[in-house]
Amino acid sequence: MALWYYLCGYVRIRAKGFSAERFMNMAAFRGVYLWDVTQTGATMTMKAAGSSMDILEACAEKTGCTIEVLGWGGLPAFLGRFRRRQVWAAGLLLFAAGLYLLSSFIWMVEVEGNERLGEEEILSFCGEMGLKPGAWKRNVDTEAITNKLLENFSDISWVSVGIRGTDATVKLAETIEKVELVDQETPCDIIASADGVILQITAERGTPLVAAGDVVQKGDVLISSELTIGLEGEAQRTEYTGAEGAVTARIWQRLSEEIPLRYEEVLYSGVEKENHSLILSEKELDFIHPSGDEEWEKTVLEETPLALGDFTLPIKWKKEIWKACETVEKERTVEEAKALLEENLRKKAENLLSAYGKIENIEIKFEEYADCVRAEAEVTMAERIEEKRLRAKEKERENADGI
Amino acid sequence: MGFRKNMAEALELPKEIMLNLPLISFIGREEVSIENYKGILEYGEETVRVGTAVGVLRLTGHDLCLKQLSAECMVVTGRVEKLEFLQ
Repeated sequence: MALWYYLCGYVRIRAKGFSAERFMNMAAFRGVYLWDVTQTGATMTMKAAGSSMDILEACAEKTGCTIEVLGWGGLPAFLGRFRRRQVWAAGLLLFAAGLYLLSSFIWMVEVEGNERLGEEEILSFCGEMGLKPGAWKRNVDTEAITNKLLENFSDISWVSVGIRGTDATVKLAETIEKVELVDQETPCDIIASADGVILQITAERGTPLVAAGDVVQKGDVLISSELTIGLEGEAQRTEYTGAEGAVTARIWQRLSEEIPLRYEEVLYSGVEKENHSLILSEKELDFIHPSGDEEWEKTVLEETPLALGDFTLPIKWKKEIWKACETVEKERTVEEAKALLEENLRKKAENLLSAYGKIENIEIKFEEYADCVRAEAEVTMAERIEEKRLRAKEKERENADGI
Repeated sequence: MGFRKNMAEALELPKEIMLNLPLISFIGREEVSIENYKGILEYGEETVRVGTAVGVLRLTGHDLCLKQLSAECMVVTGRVEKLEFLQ
């Protein structure tokens, strides 16, 4: 009741006179609601609905009271105060409209629950479907995106796209990873993946076609899928199996590297300074930064997106460490260059090796030039060279060659 | 009057409407609401006199304040000490 009168507006009046009670009775009888009546000496102050002022005046006249308006209250009076502050009111409206407008865009898209699937992959797919930062919220069809995600990613077993405030969250559950079964039935051969000399061959299944000491070329069949069943001299038949086995061979690889004799080195003076800057979408605003003639090497420590509650703003706070440095031109001797090259090449060769491989020998030839040293290395290594190839594919190739 | 009273009692109808009687309710001793009153006869911080169909009702207490006043109902708050029917 009081709230209703607050919204409609009320008036505070003071009634003076011999029979203020009669005035109140008459007003109440005529349907005027009075409240907060307090007596101070001979006068009474009370509140009444603003629209009943006419009735109150008529009652006062009849009962011989004088009434005095102390003030107007309620929402109309409150709003009336702003009648002169039009720019202020416009600003208020503008702010509300701006807030509404800005909150009808999507500012952030997050992916939750992905383990094997890359976040980038899902985000770029969502972006194609229209769910990306800056998209109009009403144009985003979450149901369609959910369905498309399920269709396109076989690894997703469940997915929900939800928009809360200005953040869109893609929650998903991945399917249980399939166990990779070793296919023993489909006929396949073991072939050489590189040229080399066979050191050792172990066939688990299939017929070995080469022996230790044989020279093989890339693509040669090492273990065949053909199995000849039956004793010699009797009726024999051929069956095919998925060949399996390990073949180690000595292979050679050429590596080369070159390093200049003159080079630049960055020297740090030890001076470090922190720098803060604002990133507005793409542009970086760096108002205050360390001054000085030195060169600075910048390392970004963190980028914190600024947010207002649920609203993530497209503004980031960047924190950097600036290290003072100096670029110095240096020269190295041929001997130093050679040592460095050897080390680099050895590292390179080791990177080439698989878990089973071993470097047997590295032969390095240096070529000296005026401004650089070039090294050519021939690496001899023992390495597994087996590779599976489906027999069907081989047949296809043969057929194609035949035509 | 007798007939109305009997009927109100027989049909269990609210008597204050059938017989035009005041309905007075207390909330603790700090708020009294009086429905179906006839008019205020006197109003002050210590005493409030209200005319009803069954006589004048006098409320005595401290800091009495008329919180609401409409044609059907009035609410008095404050520290009520006495409620008497005069006449």
